[in-house]
Amino acid sequence: MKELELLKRKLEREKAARKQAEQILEAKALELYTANESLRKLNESLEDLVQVRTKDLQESEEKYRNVIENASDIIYTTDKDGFFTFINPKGVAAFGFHLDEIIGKRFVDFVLDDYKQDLFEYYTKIRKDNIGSDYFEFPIRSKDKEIHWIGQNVNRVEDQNGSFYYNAVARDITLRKTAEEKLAIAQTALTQSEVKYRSVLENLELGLMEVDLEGKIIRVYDHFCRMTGYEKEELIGKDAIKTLLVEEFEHLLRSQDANRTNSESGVYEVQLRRKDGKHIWVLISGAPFYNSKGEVIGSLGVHYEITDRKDLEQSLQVARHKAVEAQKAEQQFLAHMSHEIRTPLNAIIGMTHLLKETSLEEKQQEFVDILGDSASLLKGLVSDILDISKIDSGVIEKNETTFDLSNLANRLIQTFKSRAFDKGLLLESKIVESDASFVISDKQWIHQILINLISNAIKFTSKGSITLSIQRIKKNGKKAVFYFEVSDTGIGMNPDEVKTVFSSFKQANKKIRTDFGGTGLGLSIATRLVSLLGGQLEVKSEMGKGSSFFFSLPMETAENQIKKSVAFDELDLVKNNKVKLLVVEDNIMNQKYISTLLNKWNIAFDIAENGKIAVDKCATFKYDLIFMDLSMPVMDGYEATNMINAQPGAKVPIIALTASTFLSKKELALNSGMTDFLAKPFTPEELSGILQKYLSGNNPQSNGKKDVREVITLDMASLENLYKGDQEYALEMFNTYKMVINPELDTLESLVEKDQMESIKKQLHKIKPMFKMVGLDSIYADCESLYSRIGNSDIIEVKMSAKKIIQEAKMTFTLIDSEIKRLEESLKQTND
Amino acid sequence: MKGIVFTEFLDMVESQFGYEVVDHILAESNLDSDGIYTAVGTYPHSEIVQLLMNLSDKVGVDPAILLKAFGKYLFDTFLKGYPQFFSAVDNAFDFLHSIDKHIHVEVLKLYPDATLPKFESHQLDNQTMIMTYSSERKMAALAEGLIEKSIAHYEEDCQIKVENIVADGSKVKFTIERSLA
Repeated sequence: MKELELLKRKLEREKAARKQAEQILEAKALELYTANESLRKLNESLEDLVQVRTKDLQESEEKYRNVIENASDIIYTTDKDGFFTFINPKGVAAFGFHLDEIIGKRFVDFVLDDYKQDLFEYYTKIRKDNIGSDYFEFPIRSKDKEIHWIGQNVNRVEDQNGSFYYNAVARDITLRKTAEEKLAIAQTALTQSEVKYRSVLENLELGLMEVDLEGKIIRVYDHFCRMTGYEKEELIGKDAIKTLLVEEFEHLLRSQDANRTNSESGVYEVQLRRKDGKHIWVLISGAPFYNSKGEVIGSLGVHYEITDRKDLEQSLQVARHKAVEAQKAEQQFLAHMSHEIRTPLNAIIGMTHLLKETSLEEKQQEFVDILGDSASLLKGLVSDILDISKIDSGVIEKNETTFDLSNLANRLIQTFKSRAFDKGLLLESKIVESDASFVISDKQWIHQILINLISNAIKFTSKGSITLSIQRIKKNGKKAVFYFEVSDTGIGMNPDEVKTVFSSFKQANKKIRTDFGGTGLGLSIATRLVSLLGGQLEVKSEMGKGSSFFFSLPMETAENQIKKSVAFDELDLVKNNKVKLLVVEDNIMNQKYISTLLNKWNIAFDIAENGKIAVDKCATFKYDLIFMDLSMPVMDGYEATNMINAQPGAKVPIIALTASTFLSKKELALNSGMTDFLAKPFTPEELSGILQKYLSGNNPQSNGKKDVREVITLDMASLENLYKGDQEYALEMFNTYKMVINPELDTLESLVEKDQMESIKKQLHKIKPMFKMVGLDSIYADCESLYSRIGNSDIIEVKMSAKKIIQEAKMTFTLIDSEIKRLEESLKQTND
Repeated sequence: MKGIVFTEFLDMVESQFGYEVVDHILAESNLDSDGIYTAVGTYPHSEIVQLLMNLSDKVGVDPAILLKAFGKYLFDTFLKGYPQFFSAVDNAFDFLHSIDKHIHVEVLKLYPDATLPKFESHQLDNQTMIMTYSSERKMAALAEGLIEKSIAHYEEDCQIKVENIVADGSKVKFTIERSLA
């Protein structure tokens, strides 16, 4: 029983457990079903989602396909081995291939052979380094064999299976590549050019250096290093001026640097200091250089060593200095010689003049003439040599005065007439008087030029004529140009001789020298003086037919209001008899010469042997004029002049007497307070000129006319020439003149009033020789000038000139009277 | 606790001590389930404790020894029911490592509500491994029975040292050392 119950309880428990298990399982089954259901639903909604997604994907793909197909870039894909799997239409069209010619081909098939290796290495690297995306450029050949450069971005894409393919976007960059290649070629050319020029510059022995704006060296070239002895490294970064330049040139270089920054170039010479301390001369040409913006960033200096040249220059300078010194010494020697020669010469000439004044036998007269001629010739020679030396050393000065050009010419003709006459030559002048009147120039120079030319012409002409022509060829207000010509019918010259004719000491040939004599300096002096006056002496010559020397000078014309000539109005001085002179001179010969002349002219004077005596005499007596020698014992002329000028009372004119013709002596004399200058040896005319100049103005009785009108004097030289000392004949002629001249002048005056030109001309022709007879050469010249002008000139002008002649002639009556008186007295003395 | 533990425990009592003892301990215990157990059900842990304690009283054997014997019994059940777990490995250590890492993971997939003890294991060297049992149910003796039976299954010879890391038996360390052959 107990067992049965136990079994029963066991069974119940089993049954209960089974039901409990069934319930659990049923619940589980239900749970499973529900889960299943929801899974099914989930599946359905997932399918919908997939469909939507698929559609979206298709649309998106379509969109991208459009983009790819219409893209301006080439887009393609290849598989991992580089076979084309896709290419967009642009890619197909770009190179002229059909799609089926590309798809299935390998990418490298299109690449130029030369680049295949590069490309292969490139892709190997991409694969090896696992690079996802990269850019590469390479050339391909299109269907028509053209080369196109491609630049492409390639992406390595991995698919689900873990294998990969390539996606590429490429672009035709041929234009850019071509431009780059051209640029590269240009750059290469530029580099080559730079290399070429640099090597050229290096080989040119030019030292090149570049500095920045602060003057720091930024680049130096090899030759510059060799030039300065520095290594490149020693110079780079250094201050160029401080390191290399010799200090005294610093200022110059800094100013050049400033110019450089203003973009100016320059060339200059400076000294550089080498590393070894030696100084070298260089010629630097500096120029700015620019950055790409055109701003100045520094300068380039090109250095050329000129030390040798500088040394040469220096030695030349030394040599030149020596030469100049030598020339000075020569000049001093000449000046000295001048004095030494002139002093005795002065005495010879002076004595000759005095000797002529005495009564001489015919034979003696002849000897004295020869003596006088030789002395004059010697004086001329010394003067010529001195003139040349003075002109060449530039110590003479132009002395411009106003003078009558035609008068000068007439006097020249007069002077040479007898010489020409002696040789049987005709000497004539062709001068238009109205043209050649008053001019401003150096009278002495023109005089000398013409004397040299005329005397040459006479010298080299044995028959025929000599003609002096003066012509005004231009006039503009006061400014004018005068043409001078001296022509002859002499021996002439051949073309070779013409070439050397102006050289010093050159005469045409040895034979000429022997036949004609002379120094050959005449033309040289003339040439130099013409050139100093602003002209050029030229020559035309034909062998055997004659020569013509001519030149043109610019000169100013002046009004007719200047004293025409230096002369001496003896009468005034004789009459006044108030004048007393002092002659200060130590040389006995000179004392004698000047005393004789003054005695002859009845001029009172004292003699002082030296400056000291002169000063003492001046203290006690008031002289009207003093002639002062410069070199004297005890006290020289300069000191004496100072002391005399220091004395109280009115200033006395003091005239320096010296044999020196040097400008410096003259200046010294004038600076020491002397009034004027008379060069020894002087002629009686020169002496009387000085007296006239300083004493006539002294005359209180002078009515002032003399200041504005020329002083008419008797031309003593002309008279001497005419009468050769025959005083009786001269007296007769003077008396005749005095008798006939007044009625003739009256006739002329009446003709002038009546404007009868032809009659005036005839009357002038009639009376003009009368003036010549009594030494009134200037009136004679005026008559001749007026005579030639009638018919060409204005009537009023002719009348004015004629009236002037009448007036002047009348004014000379006293002069004529006094000469008659002198001649009478002289004859009386001789007869006594 | 899973119903299989209750059904297997009662099967073991019935086979060792007869259904009378089963009936006795069920009657003596105050059970919410009224002693009705099915392998697919789930029941409170306290019920197995009451059944074990009442069995111990009834048969006069220490509960720990009873529990260890139950472990050995349970091993055979597992071996029959789930042979794939045992054929996957060829030695005891690998099997013991796989309990926490693999078998319990699979159990939880099938029975998400199962409360399983934790078996951390690590190998000191070729000869020695350590397994640490952690569970509030303090049934390390059951685990000991299972470990011994596993070693026996792979025909190995090991010494097992048992130490309480926590005194109440909620954390226990098993040092398993292979005997030197």
